[in-house]
Amino acid sequence: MNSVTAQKNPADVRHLLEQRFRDEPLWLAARRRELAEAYVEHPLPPRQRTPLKNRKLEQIPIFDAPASAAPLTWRDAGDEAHLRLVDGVEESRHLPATLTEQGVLLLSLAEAIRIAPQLVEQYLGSVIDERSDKFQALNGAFWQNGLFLYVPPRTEVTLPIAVTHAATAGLAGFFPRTLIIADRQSRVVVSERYLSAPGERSLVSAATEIIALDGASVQYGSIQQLAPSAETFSRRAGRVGRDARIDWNIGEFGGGLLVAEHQTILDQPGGQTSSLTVFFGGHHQHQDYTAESRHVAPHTGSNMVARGVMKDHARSVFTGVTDIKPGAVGTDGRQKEQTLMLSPHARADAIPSLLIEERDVYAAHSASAGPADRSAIFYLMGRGIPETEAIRLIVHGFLAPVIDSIPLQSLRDEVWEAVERKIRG
Amino acid sequence: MATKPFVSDEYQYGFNDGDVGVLKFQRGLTRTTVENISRIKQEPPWMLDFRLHALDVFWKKPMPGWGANLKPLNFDDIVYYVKPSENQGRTWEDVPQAIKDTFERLGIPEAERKFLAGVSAQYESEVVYHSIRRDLQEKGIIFTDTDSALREYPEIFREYFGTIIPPEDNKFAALNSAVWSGGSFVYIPKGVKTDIPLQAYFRINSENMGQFERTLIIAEDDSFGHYVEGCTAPIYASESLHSAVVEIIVKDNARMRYTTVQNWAPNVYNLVTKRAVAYQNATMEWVDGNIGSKVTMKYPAVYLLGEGAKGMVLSIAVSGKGQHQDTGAKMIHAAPNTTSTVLSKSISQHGGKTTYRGLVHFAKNADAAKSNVKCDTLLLDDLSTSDTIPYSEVENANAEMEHEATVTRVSEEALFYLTSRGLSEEEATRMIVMGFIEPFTRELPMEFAVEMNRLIKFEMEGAIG
Repeated sequence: MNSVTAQKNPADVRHLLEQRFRDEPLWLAARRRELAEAYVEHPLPPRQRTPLKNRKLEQIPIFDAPASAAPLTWRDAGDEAHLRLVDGVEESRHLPATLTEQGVLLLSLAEAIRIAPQLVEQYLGSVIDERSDKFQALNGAFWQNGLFLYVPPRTEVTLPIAVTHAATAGLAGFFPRTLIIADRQSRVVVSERYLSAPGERSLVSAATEIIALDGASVQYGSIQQLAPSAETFSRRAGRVGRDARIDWNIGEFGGGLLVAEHQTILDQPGGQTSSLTVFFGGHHQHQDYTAESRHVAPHTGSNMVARGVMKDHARSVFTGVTDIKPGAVGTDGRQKEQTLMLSPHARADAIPSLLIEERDVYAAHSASAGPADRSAIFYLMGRGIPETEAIRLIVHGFLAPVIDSIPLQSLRDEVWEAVERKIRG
Repeated sequence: MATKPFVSDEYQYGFNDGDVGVLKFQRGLTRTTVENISRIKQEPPWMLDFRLHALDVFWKKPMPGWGANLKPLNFDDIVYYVKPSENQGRTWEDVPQAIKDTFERLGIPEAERKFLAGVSAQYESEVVYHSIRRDLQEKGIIFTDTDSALREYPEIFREYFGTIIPPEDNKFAALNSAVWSGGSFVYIPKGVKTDIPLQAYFRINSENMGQFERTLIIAEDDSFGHYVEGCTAPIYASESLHSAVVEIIVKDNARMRYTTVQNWAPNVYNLVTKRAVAYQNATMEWVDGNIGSKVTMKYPAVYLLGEGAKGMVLSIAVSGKGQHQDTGAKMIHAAPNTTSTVLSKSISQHGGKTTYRGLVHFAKNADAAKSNVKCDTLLLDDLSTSDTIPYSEVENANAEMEHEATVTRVSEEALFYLTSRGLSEEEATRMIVMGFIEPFTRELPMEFAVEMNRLIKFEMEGAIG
């Protein structure tokens, strides 16, 4: 069965769901059915600066079973606490016994449905509004597997947890899903990587939900290095409890098309969030990012920083939204976006907006775009450094303040490697 | 903190001197309306064709799906043309007494006698009074109303009219193109510089009367000019529409400044298209103050088409009860070494809303172009809101764009400091507000700065007293 018939006929979609997800609880089956209908009904999302129609996404046969393909290789050998999923199948998982004893649950989402059904039912889809968006509905209906992480109250997990979502070349529809719940006063550090093997065009819809309950702290990192053949839609959303915080560190490098959004909802007093986004566009990549902080409760804070490098014919759109609702007194919301342009054929758009409905706030944004400093390049070349190396150093200098503030050593190293590959490629 | 309003919701200039219109059309817009306007003005056939074409475009275009709420606007409930007196007043004595009284209260004659080159005072839809000082005439500067310009300078007029903003540009530009009346026409010949501003005063008077003035300014090579317009209008209960089109051509090495202080009554929909093109090493400056109206949508633009061209927008927006100022600036860099600067100051109070909506575009050939945009907003109470939505599009790797924005309240610290020096909280707030908009007021011509300060002072005192 392919996507064309699936999209046209809701009955086919229902049949497909029943075949694919046979042994799931009723609530989940109902949920998948509802979202599958939403997926079929919704038109393509209107994105002003990312026309989706001409990409012919409907021609990707996303419901085919994965054909056997060459195995993927990546470097995560050193990760002590980890979960590795390939084509939605759990390949490897480890959590130190001390953490298991404290009640930390590190599971594949499919397994979590059996082991912690109440938590999954309570929180899955509680932060992302999947019904309002075609591709989020797609993930909600067809997610194959993903990460489930639960940290009990007052538990501190200092060891970073590394999660890999990988797709082999045979997988045309890749729908990873993540659910992270940090219970009251807990702490956790988690990093995810998204990989896919180059091959035929694939459609990727990823969803990550983070719930930081009162006083909890989640340090979340993500590095996305999907193949250029991947047409990617990714949504990350977090809900921040009272005096809790979520810190996002996001590196976006792969995918031919990337529509990525992350949103933090601050609807309890004292919630805080920060986000660092690093993006690097090359070749004919089209990257469309949205970063949003929604301040609903008093004394919440957000700080969103993004740095991007654009080369070749790449095109990027960065939309920052600081949305301060009435009653969110004492809010401090800031944004900073900078783009380094390395090619005359690249294009970068930025829309850093502030939507303010409360007086007692401080909100600020700044954005800039510009070329590599010619005088700096000349200076370096005058010292015997070749031009390509000089540009590499300037890119490093530009990204260092953001990348070096990523708290996870392993993620930091991976981001630097990705940057190096991009500079060379 | 109990902040007092900075500009009161009472409209100071809301007096109204009765309907003096001599010829007034029925409400609503049809082909016949447009044909009648053109016939009364005895226009050449090409202008009638232009108007009728624009009317078709207006009917075809949908309402904008973004920006302020325009739903209450009813195009059938508007009078599209009013001619206040049969002939254009050549001298002050010819101007009807009622109109004179209105100007008297706004302080126009003083300004005209002492400082101004020519007062092109637009009262309702037709320019009723117009004089040009001899020295301007001697320099070859044409400063007249747009209707006269069509009759008297048909060649220059036709060469430039509608070239910068064609009717197809947007729905309201199409409406203006169909029913335009009045406005100013300025032609500054090559190498001519004027040190005195050219000033026009605009007013809407009849209830529900649309005012569709059309301004066309041509600054030839190496010239300099400063055009100034200000607007106040009486209060009326039902909606009123002002939809102007302003086209400016600034040729090589010329410099043009266009200053507006706009204080429409709080029932006016002010939907204006303003655009300038700047050629090689030319400079275009928009100084734009939006204080009144119910809804304003206005984004002065500069198309930087020649190498080394410069564009500037300096603006303030003050929004009070029931008002939405949706304003901004557009800078299109389409040549190398072009530069642009935008400084926007917004104040929201009493539930008013201000939106900064701007665009900076660097085209592929905009090598070494630079742009700096700064937007600051002050929220004076808990009911007021503000959006800042700047768009930037960079297609050139050697262009530099910088953007900064802040949204703040009046700082407690500054208030505390000032009140501890013996100022009342009201005085302190006013001082902070005046300081906030000072970068704008200091760029105004002297008499405008005086009027602006007086307006703010009176209205703040009124609100506090």
